[in-house]
Amino acid sequence: MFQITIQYFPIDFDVAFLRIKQQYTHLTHYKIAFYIHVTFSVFSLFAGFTQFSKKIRTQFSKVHKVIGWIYLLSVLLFAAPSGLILGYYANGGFWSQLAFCILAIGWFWFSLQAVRALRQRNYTKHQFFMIRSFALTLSAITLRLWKYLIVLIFQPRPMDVYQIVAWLGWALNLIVAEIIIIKYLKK
Amino acid sequence: MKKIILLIIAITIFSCKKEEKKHDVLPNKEEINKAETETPDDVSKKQETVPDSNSNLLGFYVGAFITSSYEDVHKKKGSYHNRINISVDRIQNDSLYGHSVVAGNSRPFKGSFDKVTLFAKVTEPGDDKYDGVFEFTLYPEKNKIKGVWIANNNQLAVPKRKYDLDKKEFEYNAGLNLHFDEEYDYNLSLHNSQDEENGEFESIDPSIISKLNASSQELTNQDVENLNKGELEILRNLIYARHGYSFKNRKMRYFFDSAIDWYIPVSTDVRKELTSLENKNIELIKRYEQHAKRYYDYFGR
Repeated sequence: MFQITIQYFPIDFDVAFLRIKQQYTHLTHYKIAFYIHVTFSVFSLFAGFTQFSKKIRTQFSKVHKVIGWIYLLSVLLFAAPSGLILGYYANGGFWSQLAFCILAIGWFWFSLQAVRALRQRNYTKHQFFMIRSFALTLSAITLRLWKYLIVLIFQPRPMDVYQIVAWLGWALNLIVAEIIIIKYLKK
Repeated sequence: MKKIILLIIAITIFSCKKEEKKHDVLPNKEEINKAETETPDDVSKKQETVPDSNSNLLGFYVGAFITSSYEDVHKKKGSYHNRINISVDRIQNDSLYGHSVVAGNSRPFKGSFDKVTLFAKVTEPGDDKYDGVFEFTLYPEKNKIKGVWIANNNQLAVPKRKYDLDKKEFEYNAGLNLHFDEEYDYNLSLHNSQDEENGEFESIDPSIISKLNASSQELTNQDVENLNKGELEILRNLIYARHGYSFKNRKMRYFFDSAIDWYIPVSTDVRKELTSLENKNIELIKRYEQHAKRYYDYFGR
């Protein structure tokens, strides 16, 4: 993922994914949103990996707190709002635009609920919403993985596969997240 | 080249006529008397001696340039057949001048011409690996030429080829496109080889490409974003084909030779002929082509 981000630096509006977004790259807000998104999404993705460790949570609670705030601020202030802008200009027409916009709003909402739970000192609620939020964060990886697998097996047209993974990339993650939460509740 | 030659011929014909007219305008009385007494036989004699009596033989002769022997072609990775354009540019007394365009190679030739049998034996300059000798007969009543070509170098993958070509007119027409019969649903395939056993190919859907025309409409991102790599390639190369570009690239050559009946190779460089609309579309399609090539089966978007 780091490599995927690093290909856009130093800032160049005519590389990789942006090469087929030339109809939008003259828009200043698109360019700003794009760079905010690729930068802060990487923070949130890597920050997320340490947070589910019980050891870090209990023995190094300060580490958990610092990384947790990096995650939440990256998502709430930067990655999710910029994601919504990018979602509005998504490739693949209405249905993939809708999928990416829901993803961005859901990401923001779950993360916000996790912050609220902290205020209420309701740590179970915090945990559940963080599981949901991170499930959506992981869509960065699962979307690309699905694309890779679908192309490998079916070789569909480029935008057909894009529309499929726009939904598949996060919806399945969310289902898995709910299963994890339900299992946790049963304990 | 062809245009220039045509222009020169047109100018010479036109200037000849003018001179004749001048004589007509300024006749002295004696000449008038002579003209009046001229018999019809004399007039027909005059027409026969016009130097351009061979002009009906000049033009583009287009068709398949086929190997004479199938031995070794596969081993040496040759092409069994390519579409060739043999252009007969000038006939002067017993000499014939012209050029051939095939497989991205345009070569001049000149040689002897027998006015009675209409048989020509012409040679290419000899400084190209693929130069050789053409021997053909013109059949003006059928608008055809038939003959053989023998390479100077007999170690080539294909040292001898035969051909039976039809006379064709070339004119750039932005409206020409991939023909698609709606009642018959089929896919076309792109190959890098003319050998059947080489199974690698890309499948393209002509019903989608035939709805787009990169020479006559401004394409949008939505038009091209869902096309696969092969379809983008054909859509872009159709532009060059309309201008008569002779393809070096085998995949494109095999496709246009076999699937496009209006395609006539006339030039090995058409960049100056492209319209601004075409250049714009080429740039757009290339972006998607490069993206498809680099990212389609890759972990990423």
